[in-house]
Amino acid sequence: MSDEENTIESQEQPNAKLKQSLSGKIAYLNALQDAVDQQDDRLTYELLDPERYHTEISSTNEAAKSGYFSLVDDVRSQIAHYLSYQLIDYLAEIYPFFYYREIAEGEFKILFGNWWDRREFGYLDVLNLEFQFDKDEYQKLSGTFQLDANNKHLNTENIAKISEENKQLETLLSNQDQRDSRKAQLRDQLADTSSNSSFWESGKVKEERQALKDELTKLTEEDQKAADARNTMKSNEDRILALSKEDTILSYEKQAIKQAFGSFESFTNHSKKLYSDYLTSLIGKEKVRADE
Amino acid sequence: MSNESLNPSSLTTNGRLVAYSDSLKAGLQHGIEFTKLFDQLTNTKDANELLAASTALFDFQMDTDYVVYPHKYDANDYYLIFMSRLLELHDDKDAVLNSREDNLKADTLFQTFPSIDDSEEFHFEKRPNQDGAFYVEQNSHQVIFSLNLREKTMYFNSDTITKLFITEWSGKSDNEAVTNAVDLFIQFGKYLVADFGFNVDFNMLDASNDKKYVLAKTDLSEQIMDKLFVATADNNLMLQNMDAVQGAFLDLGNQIIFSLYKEVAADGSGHWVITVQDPAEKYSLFEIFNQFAFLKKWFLDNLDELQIGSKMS
Repeated sequence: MSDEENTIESQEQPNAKLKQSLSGKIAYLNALQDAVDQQDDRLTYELLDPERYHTEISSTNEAAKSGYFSLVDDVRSQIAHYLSYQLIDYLAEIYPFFYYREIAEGEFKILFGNWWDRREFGYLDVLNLEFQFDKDEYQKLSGTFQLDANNKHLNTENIAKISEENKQLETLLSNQDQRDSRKAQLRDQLADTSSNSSFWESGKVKEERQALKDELTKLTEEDQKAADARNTMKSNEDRILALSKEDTILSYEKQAIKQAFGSFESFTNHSKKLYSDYLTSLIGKEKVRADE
Repeated sequence: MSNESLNPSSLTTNGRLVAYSDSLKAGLQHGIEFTKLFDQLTNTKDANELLAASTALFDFQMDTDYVVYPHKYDANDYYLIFMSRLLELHDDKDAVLNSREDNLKADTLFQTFPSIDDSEEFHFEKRPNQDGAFYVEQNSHQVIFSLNLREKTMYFNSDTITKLFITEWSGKSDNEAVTNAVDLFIQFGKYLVADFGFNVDFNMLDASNDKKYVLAKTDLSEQIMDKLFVATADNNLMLQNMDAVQGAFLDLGNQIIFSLYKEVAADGSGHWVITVQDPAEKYSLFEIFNQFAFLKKWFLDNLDELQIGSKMS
């Protein structure tokens, strides 16, 4: 081999490599464009993450090469927005209780239910086909299912406790007249003991007077409590309302999940394998279309 | 009725005697005119003649300087007779017009609704500095509606609908009897519209689907909706979120939809409205409260925030 030949060969080799990688990229982009043109969302998902596709769906499509999806990094939100249409149609059937709000292009917040003040339940990752449930909200719902076995709601005990406190405050309020008359009685007795007191009886009288004073103090304290009672009761009622509302929302959520999945476990299991469930359903649709 | 051209002080004795006689005749003639209108009020089969007689009698001054008639009806009584007669012309017989003997004037007139409660008596009252008359329950003096035959207006009072119909009557009688009695007022209003083109604000009694019951208060606390939400769940219903606006709606079954939402005007100002929709347009807000106890309770418990505005001043 001459030097010249060598040089030519060493120029041709990287050239060929470059050509190959460029044509690979073009082929990738062409494939993606075709997939979008034909609204072949299954293929789009495959092109976006071929490795995951091959692992989870176990197809052997050699045309989809990994490594190129970074080419479309800057249009990911557009792709997510595009893919959301068919995905949300699908989700509406399987998860009829979830609603989605697109807060930015391709970004979806999950709303649980169509009832008043439904909770925000996390996010839907359209490109990765994943539910990202809000941990706190998910935990509350999970807890509700555990309590369900005992026929209880999350806040049952709390509500009972606050209701009991309000009952006591109510009694305190309604006993005001009794307290007033008892106080008048005590004051009369105090006045009597002071006018009847003599030097010899003073020890005993002192004791009596102290007892009367103590009771009077106790009643005055109760008066003070009663004076605050209205405000306390109002804020207690507000707390009960907030807790009842939360219980109501959770029970609607629980009902919705039971209706669609039977159990919380089944719901959880399904939601974890959204990727394979969804793509399998797309493959199923393709087959049906091919058979027709 | 004094006549300026017959100033008695400037006349001869004979002239004064003649003037006296003329004044008496004028006074008697005035009385005869009254009886003509009164006969028309009580006998006519024609709704327009009835309205004309009632309107004229409401402002009619019977007495003149020379002739004073001791037995007179109150001006308000002509409104009551008008109402009774208009219902009668339409074959509506639930309201009964009663009379009580009164030595000082003509009889006292009042209306009752035997199907609800015989002890409640209704009549019209005038208010100082306000035109027309007010249809009132006599014991409580609660105004049910205002009526102005000259201006052709009738405005229901939402306050009374709440206090009298929804709170008091609902406790006394069964729902159907209350509905029937209230229905009579509604019918009366409808006759006014159909026969004479009155401007009637039925307020909470309006059953049309596009009626918006506008809340008197512009702001609602968050808890109002939360309370409704919890109450509906207790009744195995579900208060649903409205997507397009801030608000919620309730499917009450039989395609009856109750909604509460904030309506925002072009200038950004907002007010809360309730709507009731049903295919036959049979349900007014009043009827909803009459039929659904939990909604009534919610409404009455939170009346200070939920009271419906009224055109009646």
